[in-house]
Amino acid sequence: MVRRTEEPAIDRALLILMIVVAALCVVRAAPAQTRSPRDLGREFIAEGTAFPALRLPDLRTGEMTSLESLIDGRRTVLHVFASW
Amino acid sequence: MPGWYTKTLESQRAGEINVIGVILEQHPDRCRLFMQWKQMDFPILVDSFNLIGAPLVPLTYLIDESGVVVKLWPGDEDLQAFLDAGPANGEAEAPGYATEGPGYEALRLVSGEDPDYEGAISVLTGEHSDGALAFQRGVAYRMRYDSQERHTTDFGEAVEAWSAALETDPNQYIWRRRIQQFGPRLDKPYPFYSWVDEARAEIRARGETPVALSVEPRGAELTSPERAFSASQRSAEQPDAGGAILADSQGLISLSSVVVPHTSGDAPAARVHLSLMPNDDLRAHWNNEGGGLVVWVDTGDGWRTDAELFEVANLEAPVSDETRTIEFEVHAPEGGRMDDLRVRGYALYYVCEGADGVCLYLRQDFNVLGK
Repeated sequence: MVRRTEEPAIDRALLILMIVVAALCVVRAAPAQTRSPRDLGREFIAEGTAFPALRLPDLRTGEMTSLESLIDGRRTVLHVFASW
Repeated sequence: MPGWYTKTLESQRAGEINVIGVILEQHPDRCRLFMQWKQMDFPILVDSFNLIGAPLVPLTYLIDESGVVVKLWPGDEDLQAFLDAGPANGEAEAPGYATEGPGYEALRLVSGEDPDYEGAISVLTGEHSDGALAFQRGVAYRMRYDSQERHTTDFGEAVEAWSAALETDPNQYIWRRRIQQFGPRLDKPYPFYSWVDEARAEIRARGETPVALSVEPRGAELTSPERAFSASQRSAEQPDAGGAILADSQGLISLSSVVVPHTSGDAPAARVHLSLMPNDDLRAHWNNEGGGLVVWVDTGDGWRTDAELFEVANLEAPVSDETRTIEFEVHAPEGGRMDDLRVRGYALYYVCEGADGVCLYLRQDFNVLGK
C-alpha cells in the first residue's frame, strides 16, 4: 500500500515545545586499575588447586553442561576467553 | 588461542588431550562465528554473567586428570612436559565453587526458549556493594535490551550497573571491558568486533554459510581506539535551522539516550547512544516511502563532538517499526567535567500513526545531559 506523507504547515505554537529526553543514565567513571593482569590471573585460580566446578550452557546446544563431564578424567587445556 | 588449538590438534586426535573453552561474552553467538572462521571445534561453555569470577581474559590452564591446575599461561615447553608426564597422583580436592546462588538462578531464568529477563533482573537486584551482582544485573538488562522484550531504559540500566560494579573493583577487567565495548574510542583497548566482516568474507570464500548473529555488532563495537579526540570540522549544515518542521507532540517516536563514560579517572570523553523506537501504544511506524531519519546534535560551550549530522537509511519495506540508533562521541573542554555535558539536538523523521493513520514529517527536540 502506498502511503502519502503530509507536509504540515509551520505551527509556531508547537515549535516552542521542547521534548526533553529523560532516559539518561547517570554514571561516574571508576578509578583506573592498579593491579597487573599477571598478578590477577595468578591469584584467581592458583596452580596446584582444583579447577572450580562449573555448570553452564554449551555454546552449540544451549544445554546446561558441567565442566567436570567435559574434562571426563582426561588431561585438558582449558581456555577462558572472548572472541574480541 | 587459535595457535594453541593447532599446536594440540594432533594430541587431541590421539586422545591424549582434551581442549575446552569458557567464553565470557555478552553475545555468545559471535564466538560461534569466530570458531567457524578459525575452523576450530571443541566444547565451549557460555558464561556471559562471569559466574566463574574471572578477572580477565585470556586465561589458559593445563589441568590434569584429577582436575588440578598444573600450569597457568603455559608455554610450549610446559605443554610438552604435560603431555610427556605420567598419570597424575592422587585425587583433587572437591571443587570449591557453588553452582547455585543469584547468578546461577538468573542464568536458569534467561536460558531456554522462553527467557524470563524480568525475573533474572529481580534476583540480581540486591546490595549495591556487591560488584558481581551489579555486573550480572547489567548483563541481564542488556540481554533484555537485545530481545523483543526491550525496555527503552534497559541499556542505560546496564551501563549504570556495570559502572557501579567497576567502582567496587577497578581491577576487574571483564567488567571494565563490558563498558568499553560500548564506550568512547579514547577508552578502547582494541576494536572489539571489527573482525566480523573479514570472518564472514573468508567463510563465504570457503563455500560455507557464516553463523547468523542474533545481534549485529555496530558503532562502538566496531570502531578502533584513538589517542586524540577527532573532532568534527563542523562543515555540515543544519537540516532545520529555522525550526520549520512540526513537533512530534504525540510522541509517535520514543527517543532515549545513554551516555557511556570513559572508565578511567576523570577522562573527559564519552560515547552517546541515541535510540528511536516507534511508539507501540500509538501503533506508530516508520514511513519508508519518505526520506530516512536525520539527527542533528550541537554540543556548544567548548564541548566537541565527532559529528553533528547523522542519517539513517530506511529499510526497503514501505513501513517498518525497528529501533534506529545513532552513536556519537563528545569531548569536554579544558577543565570540563562530564557532569556538565549538555547536548542539544533534534531528530527529523517520516512516521505514520496506526495501520491506516496519517503519515507526517516530524521533528523531536532532545537534550542529552551528563548528569
